[in-house]
Amino acid sequence: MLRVENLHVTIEESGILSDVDLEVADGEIVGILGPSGSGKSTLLRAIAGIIEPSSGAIYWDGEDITQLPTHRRRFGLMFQGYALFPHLTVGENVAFGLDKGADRQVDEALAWVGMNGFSERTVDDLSGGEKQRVALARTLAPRPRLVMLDEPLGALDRNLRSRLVTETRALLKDREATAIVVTHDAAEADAICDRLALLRDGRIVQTGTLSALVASPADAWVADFLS
Amino acid sequence: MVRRSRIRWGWLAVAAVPALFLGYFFLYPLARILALGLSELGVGASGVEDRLFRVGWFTFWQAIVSTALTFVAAAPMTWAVGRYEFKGRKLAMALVTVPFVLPTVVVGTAFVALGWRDSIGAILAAHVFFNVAVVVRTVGSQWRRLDPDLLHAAASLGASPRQVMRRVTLPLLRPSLAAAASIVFLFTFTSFGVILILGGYQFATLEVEIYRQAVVLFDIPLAAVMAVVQLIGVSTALYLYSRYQERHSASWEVSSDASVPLPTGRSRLWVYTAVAGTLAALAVPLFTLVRGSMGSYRDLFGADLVVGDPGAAIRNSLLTAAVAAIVALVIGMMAATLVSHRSGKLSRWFDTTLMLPLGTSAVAIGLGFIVALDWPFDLRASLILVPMAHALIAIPFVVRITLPAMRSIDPDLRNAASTLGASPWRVWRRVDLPLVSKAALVATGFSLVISLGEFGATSFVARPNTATIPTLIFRLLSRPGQSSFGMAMALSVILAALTAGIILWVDRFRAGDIGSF
Repeated sequence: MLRVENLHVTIEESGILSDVDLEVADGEIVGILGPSGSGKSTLLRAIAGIIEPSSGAIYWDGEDITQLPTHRRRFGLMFQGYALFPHLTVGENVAFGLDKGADRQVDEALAWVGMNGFSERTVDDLSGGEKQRVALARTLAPRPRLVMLDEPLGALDRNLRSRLVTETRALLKDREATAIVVTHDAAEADAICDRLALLRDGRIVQTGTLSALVASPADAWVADFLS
Repeated sequence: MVRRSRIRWGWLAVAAVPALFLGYFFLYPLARILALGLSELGVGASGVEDRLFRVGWFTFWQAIVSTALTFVAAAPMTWAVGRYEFKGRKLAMALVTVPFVLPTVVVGTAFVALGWRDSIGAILAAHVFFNVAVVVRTVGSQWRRLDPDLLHAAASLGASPRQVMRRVTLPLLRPSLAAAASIVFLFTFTSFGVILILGGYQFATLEVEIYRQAVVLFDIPLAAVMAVVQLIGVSTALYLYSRYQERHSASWEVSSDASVPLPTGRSRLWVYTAVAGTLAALAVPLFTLVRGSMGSYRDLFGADLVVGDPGAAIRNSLLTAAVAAIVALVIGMMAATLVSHRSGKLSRWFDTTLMLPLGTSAVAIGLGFIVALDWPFDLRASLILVPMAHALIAIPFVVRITLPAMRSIDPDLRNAASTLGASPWRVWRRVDLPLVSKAALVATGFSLVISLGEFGATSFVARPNTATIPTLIFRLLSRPGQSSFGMAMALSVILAALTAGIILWVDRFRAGDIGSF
């Protein structure tokens, strides 16, 4: 279980996140929803250990991991721009977080996302949707204890998105993954996630399911944002 | 009424001037060297092959070792400037480039001032000093454009910082690592001034041996044989490099600057240590040179010198640089205009041929002049040889600097001028010229700097009574005695100051980073 307590992130003397509290239960998918610039990506990066918080703490199963370096956290992060390694093939990308000789796990992970047979392809040849799937397979392959997806469907066209929304949720639920999904689209967040947290100007303003948020918005901004 | 055919004739005239210049001062001498060298190859006296092999082998391995050491020395600062943004970064980049723009005789003199003469260690150290900037700038600038999320992704997949470096950063930097390695290898393989001053004939490279055979022993045929071997070595290296670049031309970069602000704590200390340590090490030879030169300036302009008049050498260098810069600018810009306006075969051939002097060693150019320029008139004792050699070496730089500016001009500006009734000449004068004037000023500065510091070709073609600053410094260094050495140091400081002054002046016109060497 992930617990974020009183998290503050300051970059170049301007506050990006202030006083963020967040809990994600085992097997739960939590959506972080908010307009662009609200600090969604920063929150994921702070949880991943890429950005150092100026104060506050991050716990995993009660253990304080705030000072643990990124590569020891076993938190998977799928980046908004996918960050696929251009010098490696699709298979080598997926194998990156696995031990050597884990060919079977690579094939398995590619099968999860319906990309079997793409292992030898170069990353440059892939379409946007294919890149998204490879990035997802790479994130899931090492079986991270927390999965974080940053705008996983952001760069894709509408048709593809609606199909991948269902697939992504099924994929996460099949693995019983504990996950955080960042998006700016309320319907998409609702379709993938169990529960949503609304982020505005670096603060979490309200949490709950979409229907609960719509039914009783905390303030006019929430009502406006969700309408 | 101007007919179309007349315009085509006009372009041909624009092409003819650079073509004739390159043909007569570059391709023809090169052909004469090749003919002479190939006809002599194999008929040489016994022991020649042996010497040739020994010199060739030394040239090769000292270049390999110099390149490797340069990478080791440049690594900390490359990491610091590639990865992080910090206060004073721009200044640090400018300072690290200072050794690179210094004339080779100045670098040689500075290391003699350190007391490092006649040793392989001195040669290697001077090569490292000279080339650190190539690695820091070439690799550092690619590093800054690497998408940092690739490194974050690797870390989130469990890679430790060391693994991220080995599995992601270094493979992604391979194009710039290869480029920097090729450039440093080429510079050290064809290094002349530094080796002649710091190694003497005892540590002769092909360049130094060509000079010794031609200028000291007057064995021109043997010098030509060595020049052929040298040209084969250089063109093989250039060919391999261009093949490599073709295969790995994938652009793996994000366009924007992706360096991160300096973190706090220990890494901040490492960054500052890396930058300050590198700059301090580079400052030592220069500081020693300046300190050693104190007290010798009065000697320079007072006493009657056997080796030559320093005042005359300075005047001669300035005049030569002015003539060379004008010639290089006129011919280089004519060629660049042609290449940027026309897309035919002729224009592409031009683009390639113009770059050739860059890959040819200055010593080979100098040797070519004294071998070939006795036809149709004997120019070998003429005063124009030195400025022509310098112009030839500067032309590739003029083209490389002005061509991007010319290409960036919207063709519709020219079309608009034409529809307003401007002739092609008038279009060039009223549209092209004002828009490329900044680039032309930068090119002028580079030409002046190249000419002022040029030593390789000059040492072949300069007469004793027309010494330039670098050749006079070399003559002073060859003489025994502390007073000659003091004057060599003083003259080196003057040359370095002239060079630095021009670079600073040019820097004001540079929009962003030209970045190419």
